[in-house]
Amino acid sequence: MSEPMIDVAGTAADLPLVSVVLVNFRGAGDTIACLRHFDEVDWPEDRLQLIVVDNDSGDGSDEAIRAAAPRAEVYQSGSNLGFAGGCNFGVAQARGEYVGFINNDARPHPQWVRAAVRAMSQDPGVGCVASKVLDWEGRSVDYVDGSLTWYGMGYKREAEWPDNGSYEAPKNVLFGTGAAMFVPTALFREVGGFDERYFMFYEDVDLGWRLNILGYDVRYVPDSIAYHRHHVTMKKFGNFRETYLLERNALLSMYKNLGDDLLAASFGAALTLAVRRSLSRAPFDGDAGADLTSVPKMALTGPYAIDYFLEQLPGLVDSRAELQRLRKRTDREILPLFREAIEPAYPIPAYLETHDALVDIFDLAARFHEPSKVLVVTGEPLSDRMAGPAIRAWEMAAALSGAHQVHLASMFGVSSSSDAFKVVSVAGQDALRRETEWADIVIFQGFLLEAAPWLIESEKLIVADIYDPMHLEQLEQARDRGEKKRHEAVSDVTDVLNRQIARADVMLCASEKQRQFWLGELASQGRINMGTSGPGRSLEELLRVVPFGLEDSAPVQRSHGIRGTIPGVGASDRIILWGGGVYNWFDPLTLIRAVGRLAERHDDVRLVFMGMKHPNPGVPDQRIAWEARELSDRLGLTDRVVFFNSGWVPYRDRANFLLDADVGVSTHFEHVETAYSFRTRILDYLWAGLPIVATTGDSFGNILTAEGLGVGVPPEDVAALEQALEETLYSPGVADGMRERVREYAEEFRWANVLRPLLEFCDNPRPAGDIELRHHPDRNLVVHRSRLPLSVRRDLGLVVEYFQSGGVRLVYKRAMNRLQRLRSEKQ
Amino acid sequence: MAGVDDIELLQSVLILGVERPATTGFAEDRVVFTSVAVKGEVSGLEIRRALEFSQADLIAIVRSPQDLDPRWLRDAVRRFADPRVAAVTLVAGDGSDRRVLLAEGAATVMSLAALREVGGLWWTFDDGGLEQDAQWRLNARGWDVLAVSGLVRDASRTRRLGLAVRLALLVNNLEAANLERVLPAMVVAAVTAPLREHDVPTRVLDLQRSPGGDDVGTVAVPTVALSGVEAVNGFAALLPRARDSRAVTQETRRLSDRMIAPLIHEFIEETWASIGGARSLLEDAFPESSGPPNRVLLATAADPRDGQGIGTWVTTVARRLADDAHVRCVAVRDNLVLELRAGDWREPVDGGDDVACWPDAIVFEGVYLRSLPWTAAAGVPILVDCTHWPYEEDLANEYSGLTMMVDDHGVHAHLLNETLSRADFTLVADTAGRDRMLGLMAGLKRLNALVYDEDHSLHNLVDVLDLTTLDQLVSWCRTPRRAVDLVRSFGRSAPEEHLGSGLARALRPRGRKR
Repeated sequence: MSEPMIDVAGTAADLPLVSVVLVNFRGAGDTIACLRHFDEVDWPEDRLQLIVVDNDSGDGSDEAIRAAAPRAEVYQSGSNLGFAGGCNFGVAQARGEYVGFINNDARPHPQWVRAAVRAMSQDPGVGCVASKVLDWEGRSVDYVDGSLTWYGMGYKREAEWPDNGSYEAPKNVLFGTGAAMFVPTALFREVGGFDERYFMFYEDVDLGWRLNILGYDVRYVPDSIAYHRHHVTMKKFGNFRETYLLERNALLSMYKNLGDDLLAASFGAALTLAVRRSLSRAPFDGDAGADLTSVPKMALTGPYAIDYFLEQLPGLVDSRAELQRLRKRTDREILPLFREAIEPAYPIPAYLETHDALVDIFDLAARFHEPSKVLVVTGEPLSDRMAGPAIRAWEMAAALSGAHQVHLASMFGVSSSSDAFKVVSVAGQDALRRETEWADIVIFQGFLLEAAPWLIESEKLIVADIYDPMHLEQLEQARDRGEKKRHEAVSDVTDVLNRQIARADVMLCASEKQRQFWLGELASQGRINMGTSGPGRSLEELLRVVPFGLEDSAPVQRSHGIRGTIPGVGASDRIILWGGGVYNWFDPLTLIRAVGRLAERHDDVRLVFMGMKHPNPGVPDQRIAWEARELSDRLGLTDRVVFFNSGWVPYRDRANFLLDADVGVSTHFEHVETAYSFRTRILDYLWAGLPIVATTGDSFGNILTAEGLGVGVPPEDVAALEQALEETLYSPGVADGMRERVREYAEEFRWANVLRPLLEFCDNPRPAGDIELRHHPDRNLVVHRSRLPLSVRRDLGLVVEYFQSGGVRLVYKRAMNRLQRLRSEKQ
Repeated sequence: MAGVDDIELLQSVLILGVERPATTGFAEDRVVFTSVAVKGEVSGLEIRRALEFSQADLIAIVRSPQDLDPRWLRDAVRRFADPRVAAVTLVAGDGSDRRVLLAEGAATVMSLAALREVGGLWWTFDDGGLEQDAQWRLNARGWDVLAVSGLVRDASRTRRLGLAVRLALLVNNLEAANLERVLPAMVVAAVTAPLREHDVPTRVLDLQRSPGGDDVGTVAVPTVALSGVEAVNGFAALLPRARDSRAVTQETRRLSDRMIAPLIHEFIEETWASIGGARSLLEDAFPESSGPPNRVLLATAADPRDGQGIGTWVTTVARRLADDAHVRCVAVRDNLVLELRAGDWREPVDGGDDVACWPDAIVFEGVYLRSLPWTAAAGVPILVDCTHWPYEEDLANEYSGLTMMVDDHGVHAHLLNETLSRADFTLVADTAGRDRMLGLMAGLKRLNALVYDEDHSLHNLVDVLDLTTLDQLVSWCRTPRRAVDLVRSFGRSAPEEHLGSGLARALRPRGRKR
């Protein structure tokens, strides 16, 4: 994160001048009350310019305000400029670096200014702070996020909902409410301020939308709070006047701000709907024989809005051209901020029928990016003790839930929950069928296609997460099962992966090196063809690199996991951490030997294995884990120098271990699996800022020394490992330098960064070029699919049989049993 | 082609109207009249009911029986001697027959088979525009619709299409891109023109110019100034029905809007004339598509400028097509788009990135469906030019190194099958080649009843190209159309059940001129 430009906790002299604009129209009492609340605002009086614009009230408002609130500067606008014009007039008088807007029937929380200025000063990409707005008593929500319908009407989905603590996270939004918001003054002026053609209503929607188009963020800041007595102003003038303003200003916003394609697709429909809405809200019977018809004003709001649009059109054409020329973000990028755009809003049957017809005819739901329904499936249990695959699935679900409806499903059991997405168990057939039918996009790891074979022929968008080359793992994992069974194990898992590769619309792999490997396998399955790499398509689209990521928040140590907790480990010992499971392709033996030799010179060195037993009972115990324990015992190191956690550290508690360590370690044998693997434990080390000592040969081990993150050592080289550990643990200053580099390097592995290719796909989902051809309906197309070998077809038949009798759990169990049986048959 | 007398002899006609016209000039034993009157008016619902089980060859919907010339039906039926004609509307005035998108007149005669082919009549237009919507759809299917004058004595009773119906006709029939361009401007103008014409103060609701202070909920507006508002509201009310009909209409069409653009243009001009308003300002305010009337994309393997393999032939074809069309070429192996300008291949000015949206017709100079997968799903007509096959060499080049899946013959056969399954029209070099191609098409189930019924000779599917003139290729590209079996069809499942006798079988829809 960049350094704050301004220290908002600093002395008064350091703080920027902030101007606050209030517009008054015949509401001196409210305005005075609002101004008085600024006495309690936590911002120095001499750094706060209070500007009141009196919109030609003509009722002595200006004098009353001057008398009651001498601190405020009161200006006469000369005519009623509306909210938009009044605010612009006020900003013209502003001297502050930032300008805040607050309705005169609102009041600020003491932190209203400080929290907003902090957000803007810390991130120059923030073009507007949207304050949290509550009702006058602070009990229910007035504004915590903006939404926009496809026909241009802004709305506040959460209005009148209780403020129950659900709206405390800052986030980017489409617009803030003009009732309480901030903009850097220079930026406000640069973009032309509020559009005065609006007079009032939706000028805030338009400003936020424009800022988004121009590449700025509109940031909801929940600590910047205001309290609002709603609609004091409009109650004086009648609902039809408000409706008229809403109708016409919605059209203005659409016309100016939508890109060409969406404007063309939606504007005719929006115009038609505006007329329909007005006449449905206020039906009347025209008398063709009469010269004059008495028409409810409400019925004219849409038609007269269209007339205003036409009147303004020449100027709007210019505004549109200029804005579109300066556009930095596409509609696609902005549409998720609309949230639920397909919202008819008015429950009138005749109107709803037309609305729904227009949405269908113009395909507006798809064009306005109804959030995709995304199902993320993992074969791992979802609990507080998650291993890598479950963690990865969890983080995907969390990241996608910002813009999509997400269900996270486990084929093996669920005991965790999330506020952001639904966590479900799909261990039963009905549940799996229901969840896959619900979803538009299915993202999965492992054996889902075996459990849900209907997905293969379905038109669902399938994302296969093949970050784990399972068949390569089998080369080592099944070594103990005899040549024939080992061959079968590798072959079976290869079939599983090939089925995924043959069907997936997108595949995710973990590193560039791994990507090259997978490209070869894709070619073998006929997936590298002109459908996937021809015009308008690319293999980058089909096979995307999504490494394992780091939590966005820094690790927090709530208690010591090692120091003073594990008997035999002292508070000041030098701790080497083995931060994950022990599998057969790892080499704990060289490490134990090296640490044993090191302990001869340094009596404070300690090696801790964080978890010996994988939480997924389907993962078999590993021979190498037993050998490690046996070697340590034989060397007399166990529970003196080397410590084994025989269980597994809960995911949420791992920081307690990582932050107790001085160096993170990972050693492995030279092996094809290690060449293409991606060590998630190394990411934990990066997250915790630990120096790293690891074997070269995989994607991390090869860059440790060059990047200054730690030391890379050759496989099975006890002396080199001993020397690397000694240098890292005992050479003055070395570890500190490594820690700093680790912190810098870790940034690119934040989940928010690594998941971007997946988010991009889910924001713009489409089938793979060649899969699209397969699905095309009713064209008698004979579409090639690579023929599955007979054994695979037989396996698929078995899978279906298992599934029908025992659901997903049985399929998974049988698959794992088979692998284990192959092993035991050899022993 | 049947002679005039044969035509009269062969046709049976179902007349639908409020009352039977006094005379028809047609053999009375071939005419059946069914009243479709409800409260003295022609009812769209009753018309549709009457058609449901009718076995007539033609239907005549009569709107103004008293205005019809005694010979009206006899003369109208004669027009069906031309196998392209599917509908005839009798309009006022004198003059020669005119091909139109749609027409309003005293009576409309339509081929029931053709009407069923496009899905019949839609309830969306029960209260107006019933025949006109069908006529537009017949045009989009490739049939001709004629406005015939000289058989209507008085036009004063002819009901004109209202604006609401006109807008609904646009929604039902225009392709999406054209609809999106036309509709916003028309709706704005429709609402505002009458208000402005009658100087209605539309700012009465506006706080800026009319600061309020009143609580009166109504305002008196000249009734006539509300005509546009009511028309748009009426149009909006039709949309829930049009939603269904539009989907089917777009699925059954065989011609793009561009192929019948002059006819559509005429209708849009008439609609604008009925609206008035600030048309030019509005049309300029919305994005407009442009380009020459016909855009043909040639798909080939390699850059044709290399002059290797089929490149020379592709350039020859392109130059010949360029007399009538804007021609581009996509070289799938080189991932390259070129444009023919002044007889030479050049880089497109716009970069050619929108190659998938650009063409009105595609000519495959090879089996490129897999290479251009979007073409399978797109509704663009595809001609597969097989005159320079075999393509083994091209195929081997294209796919070597890209896949390891099956042997070249397997790939070839498979790709060929894919491409020909999607071909709307296929050209071969000689008669023997045509025999082989027809056999291949038979294997792919393309020699089906729909194709056969349209043209018993099957020249609608496979033809031999005159390699000197390239006439068949140029002609097809001028009016490209989807193959009848590759678009949705209605009412063609068992024509014999409807027609029954041997005589009726002879009345099955005839092959259309190509």
